[in-house]
Amino acid sequence: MRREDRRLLDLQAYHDGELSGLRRFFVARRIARDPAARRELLALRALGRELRSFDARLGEGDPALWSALRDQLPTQRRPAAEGSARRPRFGMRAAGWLGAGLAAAAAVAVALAVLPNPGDLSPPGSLRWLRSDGYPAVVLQDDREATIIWVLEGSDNAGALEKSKQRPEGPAGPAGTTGPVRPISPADLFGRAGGALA
Amino acid sequence: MSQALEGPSDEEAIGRVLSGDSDAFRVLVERYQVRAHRLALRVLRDEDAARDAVQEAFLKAWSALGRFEGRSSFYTWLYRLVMNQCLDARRRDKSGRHVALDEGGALEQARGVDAEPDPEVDGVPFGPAAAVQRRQLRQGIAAAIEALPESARETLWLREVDGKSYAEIARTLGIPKGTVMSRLHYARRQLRERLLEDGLVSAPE
Repeated sequence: MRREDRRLLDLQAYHDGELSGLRRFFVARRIARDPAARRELLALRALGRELRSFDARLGEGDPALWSALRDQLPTQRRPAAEGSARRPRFGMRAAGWLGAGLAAAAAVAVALAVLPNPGDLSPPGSLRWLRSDGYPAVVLQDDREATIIWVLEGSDNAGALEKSKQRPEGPAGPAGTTGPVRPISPADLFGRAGGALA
Repeated sequence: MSQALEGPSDEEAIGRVLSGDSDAFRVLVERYQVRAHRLALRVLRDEDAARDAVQEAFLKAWSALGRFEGRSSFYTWLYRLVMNQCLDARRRDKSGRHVALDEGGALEQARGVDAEPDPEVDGVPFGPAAAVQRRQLRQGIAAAIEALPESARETLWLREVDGKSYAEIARTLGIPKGTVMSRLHYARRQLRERLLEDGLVSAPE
């Protein structure tokens, strides 16, 4: 891209309110110092005004539109949410952000592992809360075939799992060290021996 | 533009419609019908056809509202419905009854309103000579807009008239943000060159 094109695109982005921070500052400074840039900006503004004024002359729409529509709506298929999945996602989005914020604030990552049942741990449907060297985990004995384990991994206790599994060194680092939070695989949890967590 | 800016948000209105409150749809109709109508008029250049297209688009929006997922704004979604409706109408109607945008005030005449220019612009009154000049400028702009490729025209309109950000335009038209910037640059340059050629604006000193 030619330097002149870059300059014009910057001016355009400034006019459209698309620049922020330092770039906006530098373009504003150039406009203040360079009469040609100032004229260019004024021309952009004038053109925008003319277009909006032109558009306004295209009319105010159809004031009777709602009346016409209202009479026809009953004959149309009634809109309906198809279960919760068809509701607008605004609420979900907000809840997602809230959840993400809470998760970040707590500095906790949740790893989920569905594991082949290594043995007869507990009755199906039972829930156990474990704590091993400060490393919390929830174990759901789903059925005789699988055990679901939620491991709550914090940066201050990463690696504790390795200790609990009596592995000399695991992917999260040696026991007692801190490390990045990451999902945990079944192999991480049960090691090569495939033993029980508790 | 007489948009209903007050009242429930789009999201609230949609939620109410989906819960069975049909009247909540009125909020959306009244909020966006002017923009939708102008969009249709720009594409179809025929008052009746534009009115029909907007009506059809709102009926489609009503029927499909349950599928609206809120990934984009309601207007972005409606924009696509109106645009599709207009393109369908244009394909169906090859009669050539369309008039050029503002060609000799044809749109105003078709609407039966006074084709005289407003007595003031931006709050500043002006006399008959300025009014003629203004009318010429408007016609010049109409012709220059007419000469633009449709893609550039719509991009420019979404930015200057609807006030959409580059990211919103990119989402609405399904194009990259860089393309939005280059289309805007191209459209503006073309318009200005055309207006300069016609002597309707003066060149920067």
